[in-house]
Amino acid sequence: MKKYLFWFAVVLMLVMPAVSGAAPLNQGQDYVVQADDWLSKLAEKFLGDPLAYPAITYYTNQKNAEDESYAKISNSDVIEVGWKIYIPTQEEAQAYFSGSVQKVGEGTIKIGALMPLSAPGSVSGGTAMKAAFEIALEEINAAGGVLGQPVELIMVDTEGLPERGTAAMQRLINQDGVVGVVGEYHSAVGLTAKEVAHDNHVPVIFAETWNDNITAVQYPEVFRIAPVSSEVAEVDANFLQSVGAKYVVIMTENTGYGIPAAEQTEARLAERGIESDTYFADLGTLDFAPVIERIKAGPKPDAIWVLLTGETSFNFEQQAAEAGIGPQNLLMICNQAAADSEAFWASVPDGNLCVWRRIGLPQQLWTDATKAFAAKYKEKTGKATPESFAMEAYDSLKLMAQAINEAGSTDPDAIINALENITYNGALGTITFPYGLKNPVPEDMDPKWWHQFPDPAITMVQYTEKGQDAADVTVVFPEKYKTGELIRP
Amino acid sequence: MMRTVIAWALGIIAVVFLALIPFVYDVFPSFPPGLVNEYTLHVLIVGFYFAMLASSWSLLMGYGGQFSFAHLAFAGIGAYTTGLMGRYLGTHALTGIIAGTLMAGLFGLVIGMLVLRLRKTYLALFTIAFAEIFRLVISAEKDFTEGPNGLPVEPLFPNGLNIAGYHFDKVDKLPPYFIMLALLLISLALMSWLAASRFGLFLRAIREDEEAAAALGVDVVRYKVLVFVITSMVAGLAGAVRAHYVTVITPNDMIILWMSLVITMSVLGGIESLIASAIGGIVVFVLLEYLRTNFLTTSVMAVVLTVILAPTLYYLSRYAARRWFNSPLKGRTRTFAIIAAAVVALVIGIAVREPVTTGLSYAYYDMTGSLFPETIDMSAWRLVFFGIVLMLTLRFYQNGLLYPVMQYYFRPGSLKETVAKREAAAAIAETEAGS
Amino acid sequence: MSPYPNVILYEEQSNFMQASPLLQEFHPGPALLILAWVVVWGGIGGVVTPRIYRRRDLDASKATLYGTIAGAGLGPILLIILWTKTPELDWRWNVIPSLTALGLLYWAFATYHPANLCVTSGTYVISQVSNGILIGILYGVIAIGLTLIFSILGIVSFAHGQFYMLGGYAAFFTISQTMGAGLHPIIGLLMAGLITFVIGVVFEYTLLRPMHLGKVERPGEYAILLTFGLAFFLEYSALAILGANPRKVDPFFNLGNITIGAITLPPSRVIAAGIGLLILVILLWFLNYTWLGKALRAVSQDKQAAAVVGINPLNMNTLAFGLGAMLAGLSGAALVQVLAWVPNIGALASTRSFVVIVLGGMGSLPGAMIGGIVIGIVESLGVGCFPDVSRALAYQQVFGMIIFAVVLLLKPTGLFGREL
Repeated sequence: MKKYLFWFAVVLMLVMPAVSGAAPLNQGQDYVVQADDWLSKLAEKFLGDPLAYPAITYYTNQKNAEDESYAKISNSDVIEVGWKIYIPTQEEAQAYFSGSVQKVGEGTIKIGALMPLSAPGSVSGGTAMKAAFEIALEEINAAGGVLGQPVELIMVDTEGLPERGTAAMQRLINQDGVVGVVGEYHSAVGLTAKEVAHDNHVPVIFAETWNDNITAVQYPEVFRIAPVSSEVAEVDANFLQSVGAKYVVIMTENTGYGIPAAEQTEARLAERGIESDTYFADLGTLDFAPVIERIKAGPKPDAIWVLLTGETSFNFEQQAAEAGIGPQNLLMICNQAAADSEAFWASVPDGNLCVWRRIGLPQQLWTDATKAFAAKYKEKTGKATPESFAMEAYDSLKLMAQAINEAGSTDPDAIINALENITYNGALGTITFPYGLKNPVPEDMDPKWWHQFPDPAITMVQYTEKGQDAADVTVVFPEKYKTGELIRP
Repeated sequence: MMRTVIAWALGIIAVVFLALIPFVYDVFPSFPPGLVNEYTLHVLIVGFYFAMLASSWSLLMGYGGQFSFAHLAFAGIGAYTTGLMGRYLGTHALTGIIAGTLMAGLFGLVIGMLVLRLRKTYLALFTIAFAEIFRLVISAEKDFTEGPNGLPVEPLFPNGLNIAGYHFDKVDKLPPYFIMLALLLISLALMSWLAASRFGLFLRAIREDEEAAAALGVDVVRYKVLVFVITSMVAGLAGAVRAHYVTVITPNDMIILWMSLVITMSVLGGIESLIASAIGGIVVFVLLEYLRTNFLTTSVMAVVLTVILAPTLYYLSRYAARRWFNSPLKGRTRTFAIIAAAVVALVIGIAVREPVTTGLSYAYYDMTGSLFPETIDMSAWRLVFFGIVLMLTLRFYQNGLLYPVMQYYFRPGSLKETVAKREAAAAIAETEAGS
Repeated sequence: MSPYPNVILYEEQSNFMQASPLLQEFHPGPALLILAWVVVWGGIGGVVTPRIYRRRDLDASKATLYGTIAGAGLGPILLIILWTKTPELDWRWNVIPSLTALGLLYWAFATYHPANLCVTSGTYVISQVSNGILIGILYGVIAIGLTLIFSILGIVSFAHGQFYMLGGYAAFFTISQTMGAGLHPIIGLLMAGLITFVIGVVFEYTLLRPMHLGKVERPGEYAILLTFGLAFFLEYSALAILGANPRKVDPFFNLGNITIGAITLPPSRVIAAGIGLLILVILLWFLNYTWLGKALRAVSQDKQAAAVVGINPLNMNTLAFGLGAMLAGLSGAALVQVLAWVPNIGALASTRSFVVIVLGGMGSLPGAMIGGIVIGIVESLGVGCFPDVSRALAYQQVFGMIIFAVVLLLKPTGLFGREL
């Protein structure tokens, strides 16, 4: 019996060193490639570990960015005789592997993407974002990738849970070693994810997290291309004021998006002397009949503002219209998801009289990038109009790719610097970040403008006929984008 | 005898391994990246949390025969008690955790006294309703609890922790890792002791035949309530500590899906063994994490390689034994060969997983001209997979997947006993059906 | 203090709710007194009465209920009568105090919030109740399948809501013009019934039946866990294959707006409720006038006796499970024209069905139907009358579950249940 334990120990002792791999120390040096050299052989010779070759690739490419005389290694398997490469020191190689230097994977640049893909997160939102990410990734890699290397996108499910936001970010940064993170749909997740990004100093571009505090904390790593919740509420309130509403019913969802959105809207309506009542519903509520009766029996609202999302919004709009307080007889601000659903047009009488709040450029002002994306998105998902979060997801990834290209390296500070100076033309229009490290947010401005895309066009649109193509809708608010007058029921 | 020794040795190695894992990261910086890092530790910490839930659930269900679907709700009671106390009363984490545990026990006592006198099905239905009510109320009372946005909770050590000259930051994973591990081991020890005592005997008697147990003088309701309270307290404790670890809790932590996963963990491990279901909890949670996006990340590749290599090595050694030593593998030698093959395969798998993955993705790149779609979204399919595994396990291996293996090593002969008992029961059932 | 100081979202709390015209004054004082009176006497009645019954060696199974009702309704007076004159009190002694108790609760509510619509507007209450009945009929039909399974197999199927989800999808893909076959709604209903029936039968035959063949020590418990696994499997298969985008079909028939007096009824729900009632009638006919139906009822009453007259209980198990699944599927098909259909829609239906069958009495078919309607009305009135408008809807399910908890504690056999 002892014999077996002994052999067991022997086997362990034989294998352990092979894994932990002690290696001789060496100086960083330049090296000219000879015949019969390959990177892992060089890695074994100089660094004592054949698996350390990605470090050589990485540092050589770093040098190449500064000094043309160094070779550029785009594929670690292919090096040519006569190339000048840089062999890092043992410390540098270790720094590279332990992740303190933003590492480039084996010939790929890794970017992380967050989105909810399972309950209790919004799966439909996450799926749409995933499709958009895939389109963006294909485009980036078809155009030759980033820094000459293909981009590898690691998509992680956040389940819409704040705690998962922390875990997903840790996984992306510590395990996959991404150079930047993009995406996310739920504000609650964004709020915790940004902390991890900040702790690890990894740039992140949030796509659809509206909560003010995400940018208001002014972390250097955190950027956002989605609108700020309070700004959207501002536009909402202005719109209601412009139509002369006196009493508004807000139907909202009990989530990290719905609660602050409703409260901010209420507060801004109160400032303008408009009375309002908010009804909170759990996401996934099916039967709205009792609450619709309640709205009907109360004072008649001038407008119903639906802040619900997904199928919950659709259930409410359809049931309200059926019960007789739909868009056919009062101003109803519907959720955009409904417009893409054929059943909406079939079952909501006068559904076209709904007003929709759109994020992103009005169709008439679409750039070529938007049109190209919309076409691909339609091909991939069958949806006529890309949702705002799909466009944001697409732009966040392409923006990150462009920033890395402009930074010339995957160093986080270089990327952050590039993002602050970037002018990016994408599906949402021209994205810039006016305020940041270089140009701090002025004292008299709200801190939420830090690293914030200032003009995600927020518009109110109306369909002129049922099931109309999204390209022909009328923009009724604000003045800046207006293409037609509001049709009141 | 030999088997028992191996089993104990493996058990001790496993515990020592879990205790040493975090240090490997700091001692060997060149240890393959991706094996041990902050994220791995996070997965293990949450895995321990689920192990506590799964093992206490199996004490309730496997030993006591009582269905409860409110186990996560009890964890939530623990979490929200400490979270809200910390927020509104400014209490220390430790006070909060104790209060959370007691609060979960109190709820367990009230529910148990009200419902456990009824039939088993009623407990299942009542607890599922209670869990939903609790979640909905927490979610609706957002002014007080922050609702689905999540209630911020203090970290376990808000000012960090100094041990033997080392300073751990409040976000460091090592202190919560060892606390969770210690809690898991302590609660397992405590519950195992309970299960082995008279208390456990009464429980099993109640499970098998309530009326018979009552006739023999066992105070049925009292013992049922007692086990319900104890398991609720373990759940509350786990939930409260986890709250201080993740530092933000939401009502969505308590959705029915996660309750079903706790049941899956317990059933796959072995519902009639606390330790097996605890291991099941860790294994299933780790699998749930790693199967989430991808079957071809390097970590999964290590497992795949191990699974392929282990039988290969075993059959090679068997061949070698027969060919050169002229003695077929059997008995102890065979056991040893199996274990050695598994260990060597695991080590090789870990060592070569990176290059193999890279090689495969390059091959794919060469063939198709595009990168391997590394993120195949598996978040829904992995649950489908666990649904199937759960059903098949319940149908064919009611004792779970791990427990029979453990029994084989720890209690040689018990397997035969069980089979004999089953056959006897089947024979009785047949004669009954025949008459 | 907090690790995430920035998670605090409610800086604008102070402004919140100020602008609401629906926010009126509350008068909690007298309302709390009335409520305390009802609860305290009800509690005393519920706790003390069974003890008195037991001391006199009487059947104490209904004592808790009687005591609670008596105490809550007429306070100490009736309690003393009940305690001295036990046990022979006829039904009037239950009905009168229950009505009084309800009246007291309503009075408490009315003094608490005098401007509430439920106090001021009768039409409003009637329209809420009629909505509740409409949706309640469907809750009932879903739950009938569950109670049928329980009465024959003796287990609660946790996969019931998932069969309901499946039925809706089957109907969608049969009826829908764009994504499915574009067939007539009736065919959609039949398809939904057929598919769920087949899946139910296959599941029972392959996985549940072996549990009863003597190989498993505690078949009932493992069978319940198995249905849990099935629920899991069905829900996530649907999510993985069909995706999370909501699906919906147009109302089956165009009825226009239905107005009765001052109340309007949503046409799609009227259709769904009509289909529900039709299903119920067919089911009753099947159970009472066909050989198979009679055999099912026989098994539910006495397995041994049924086996003696040549009915194979195992086959009846399979049939009952299939039928139960089919009923869930059919109600799903009826509701796919009312609700936007998503893979996780079944979870809510499951929990609601549990509430309904306990309320109606486990294993009782009329009980399930009436339980469904009661839950429908309670949820409707709960949301309609809850004083705080912003929270009313968030508590929708809680109202039903409170009734459930109360019934479980006072009368575990439910409204129509057999004695346990």
